[in-house]
Amino acid sequence: MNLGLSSVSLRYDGASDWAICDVNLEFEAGVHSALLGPNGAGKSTVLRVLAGLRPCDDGRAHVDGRDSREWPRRELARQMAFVASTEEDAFPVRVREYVGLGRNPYLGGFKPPTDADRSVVASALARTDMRDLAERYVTNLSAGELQRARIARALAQEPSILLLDEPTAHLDIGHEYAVFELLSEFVDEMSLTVVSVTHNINMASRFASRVVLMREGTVVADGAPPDVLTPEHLGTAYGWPVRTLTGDGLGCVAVPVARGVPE
Amino acid sequence: MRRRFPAVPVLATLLVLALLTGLLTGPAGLGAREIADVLRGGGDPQARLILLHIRGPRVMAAVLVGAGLALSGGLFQALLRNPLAEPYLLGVSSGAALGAVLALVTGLAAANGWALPLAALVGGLAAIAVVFRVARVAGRMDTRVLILAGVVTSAFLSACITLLLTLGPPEALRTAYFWTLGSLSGVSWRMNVILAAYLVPAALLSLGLARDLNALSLGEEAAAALGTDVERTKRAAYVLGSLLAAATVAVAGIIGFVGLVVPHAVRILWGSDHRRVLPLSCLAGAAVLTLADSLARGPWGPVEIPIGVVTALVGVPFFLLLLRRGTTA
Amino acid sequence: MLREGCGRASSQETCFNLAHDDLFAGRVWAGPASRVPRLFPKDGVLVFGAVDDRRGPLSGAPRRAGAAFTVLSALASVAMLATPARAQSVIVDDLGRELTFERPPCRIVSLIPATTEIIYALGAEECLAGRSTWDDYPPEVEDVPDVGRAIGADAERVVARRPDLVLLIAGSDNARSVDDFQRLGVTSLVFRLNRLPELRSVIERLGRLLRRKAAADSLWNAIATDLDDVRERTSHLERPVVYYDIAFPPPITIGRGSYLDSLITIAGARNAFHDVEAPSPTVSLEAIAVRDPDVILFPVSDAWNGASGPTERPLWSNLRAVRTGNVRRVDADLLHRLGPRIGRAVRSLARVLHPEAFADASGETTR
Repeated sequence: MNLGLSSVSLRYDGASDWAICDVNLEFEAGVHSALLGPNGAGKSTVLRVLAGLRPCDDGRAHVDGRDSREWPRRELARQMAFVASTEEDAFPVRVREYVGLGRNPYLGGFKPPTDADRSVVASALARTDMRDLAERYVTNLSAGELQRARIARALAQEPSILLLDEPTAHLDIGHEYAVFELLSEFVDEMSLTVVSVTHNINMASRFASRVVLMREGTVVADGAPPDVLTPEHLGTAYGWPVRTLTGDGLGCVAVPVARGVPE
Repeated sequence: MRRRFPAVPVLATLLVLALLTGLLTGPAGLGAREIADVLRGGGDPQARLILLHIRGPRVMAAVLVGAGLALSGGLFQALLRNPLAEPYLLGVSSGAALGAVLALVTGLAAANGWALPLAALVGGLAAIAVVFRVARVAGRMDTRVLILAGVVTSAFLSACITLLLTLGPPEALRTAYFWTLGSLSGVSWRMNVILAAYLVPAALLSLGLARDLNALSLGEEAAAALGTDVERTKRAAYVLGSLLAAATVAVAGIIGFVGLVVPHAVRILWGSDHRRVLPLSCLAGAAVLTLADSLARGPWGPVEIPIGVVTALVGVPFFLLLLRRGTTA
Repeated sequence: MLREGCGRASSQETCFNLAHDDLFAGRVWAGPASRVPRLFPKDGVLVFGAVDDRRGPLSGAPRRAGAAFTVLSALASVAMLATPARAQSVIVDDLGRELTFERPPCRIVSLIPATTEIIYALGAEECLAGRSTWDDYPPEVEDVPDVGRAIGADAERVVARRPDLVLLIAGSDNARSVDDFQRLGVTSLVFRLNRLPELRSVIERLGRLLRRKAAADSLWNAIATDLDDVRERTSHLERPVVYYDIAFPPPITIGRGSYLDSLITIAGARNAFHDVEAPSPTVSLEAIAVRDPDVILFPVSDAWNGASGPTERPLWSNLRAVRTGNVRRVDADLLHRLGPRIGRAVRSLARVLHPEAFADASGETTR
């Protein structure tokens, strides 16, 4: 399922500038796209407009050809899952129940969960390697485990689109890698459409097949990682001189240099 | 799955025990045999009178009011995502009390036995409406504004009440004071039926809301992403919770602690899934208030302790004990 | 020697001379006879116009006046010793405080409706400098300045009346007022008025305090006569069990600790909750049903009728008294004040309970 934005602009209440301005983006099905850019570039805003979580002032966001604000919420949630980097502290629940919340879009108010639902939850737990932690309370999980639990919950929604807002923000390098690897698996094995917002240029270059670089509410560069992740583009986008290192299997590592240091 | 002890059997037993205790307690000294006689259709007319027309409706009222208060508390705790929320937080009790005091001071309550509860209900509903209106920011219900609006409205209404009572006759002051302490006496069968007709649908509706409330506990954004209609859920929880609180206050005055402690204790013992918390709170609240009412009427001779006092005196130590044993496994 | 001083008790602005002698401070007036404060009872005061009227007490030759004064004071002391010690009164209030009054107070603020009525009944109303908002009898009391609440009084408003005595009703919610007045140096007397004997004691003490003993005695005698008369007329009548409905919700009635219980007994009935000691216990409908009262007395007042009557309350129709139409109204304004009109109150109560025996109105009217 594909999704995208057409001429979308959004301004937050009381702000003088546009958060995103006239953004046009189409995301193909079955592709992992990464949204990169400095803070305030509008990446998270784009993601939320895509998810239908925020109305836009201009233009429209569409999912599978239909305006995302017109989708009934429950139906949309069966197609698209959204994983934020932080959430409010839930009341203490066990991981299994937490992941089970992902089945909400399929269960109305009164329907009890069926065996099918339970097996979906079980497989989501298995995929994210959370089976052993299924009976633990979410309040007792580490940041990495909690993030995997959130991804498991997203999987339990059986979506075809997965949107992630800085999924590895609080994770160490090992766990970061693990998460991105997982996302790759989703794309390869389940043909999910993945759009992730991240600050990790290296991970984006290694796992995303498409990178969208944003700055101050507009798209600065868009395309395959080697084309987008150049010192010029990165320097312009981040407003800081950057040197890149590439290598086989290492993706692209961007290193900020001190100002005034010669090339 | 490891649970402390199975919820429904325990609570159901507790409720049955509470009912029996309620029926057996009272100054009339009716024993089990007399009660059995009456229930079988016979029995001494005095016993029939007391059991069927005085104790019976009162025990029923305790069950319904207790269930209503606990359910209301559970709904507010879910809505406000705060385990310290309770039914009276958002101005219902002050509004109802103001309605009642107005009815007393203006002499309206003298006209009709229903006038006082009706006035309290209207007052409670008016307060709810005001707070609801204030908390609607840009078409959405902002829960932080809700709490603030509720607290401030409560304060304002309490000040109005104090003013009325200061200017009014001293007899009104005393009656109003005792009314606010809460009492289950004088709830007729008809009132019970009305209360039940209201409580049962409310309980069912809130059960249907439970999954969405679970999602809401993750935050509004995550809940929306999971398919919850966040505004509708918040509104529904607010309206159901407030109406329940208003109905109970109108019938029984202000009875504290049940709405705060019971749902919280249920959460501690049996987890936070609202599909369990809400119905179990109803059961537990019914049992707790019935027992408390028996205590209030209990062995102290003909003199009664206000039920709000009993719930506080007994509820607080029990709750502290529960907190000490830890919130989770 | 001659000493100047200003008397606190006097409403007059002028200072007057006092002989510095504890025995008869204030009992000797050294000045022109025309200046004797109006409120001093004439007996017990030595009046002598030893000093020039026009130029004030201290004009003239102080030494001469001083000498004359010393001689006279010596005589006065002898005279004082000879006369019976009626000069001062010692009143013990209901907090156990013993207060000595050298002369009767003449600026009284009465914060008890009953004592206000008593003061009027004793004919001492000119001594009333202030009353509480709840004082409404007799009608002339309207002209006495209202100083606010009787319980938790506004000390400032009371003190503004420059009282030499404040009368307070006993009770835990009034404890702070007692302390306030003590701190401000205002004399106060605390009276308890829960039972009939306490009324008698208060009348007696006020009578002594205001030097109206005779009036006090006759006031109490009139009350006692009324009570005895009613008691006698109902002595052979059948005594119904009565529930006195003070308030609802919740149901509040009277126990032994209230004078109303005694009144009910005198009026020829039995209080359903006589076995409870508290003055106004909260009971339950069930407890009432068990005692099965014959009559329910429902006090109504001109001032306020906000509470619903027993006939309108759900579930109360299960009581025999309600079913048989035996809910009777009584006059709350008369009954709920233990004061000089209590005799009338008992009569009205008896008339409601035993209309046949009290068909002759005896000049009293009930509503």
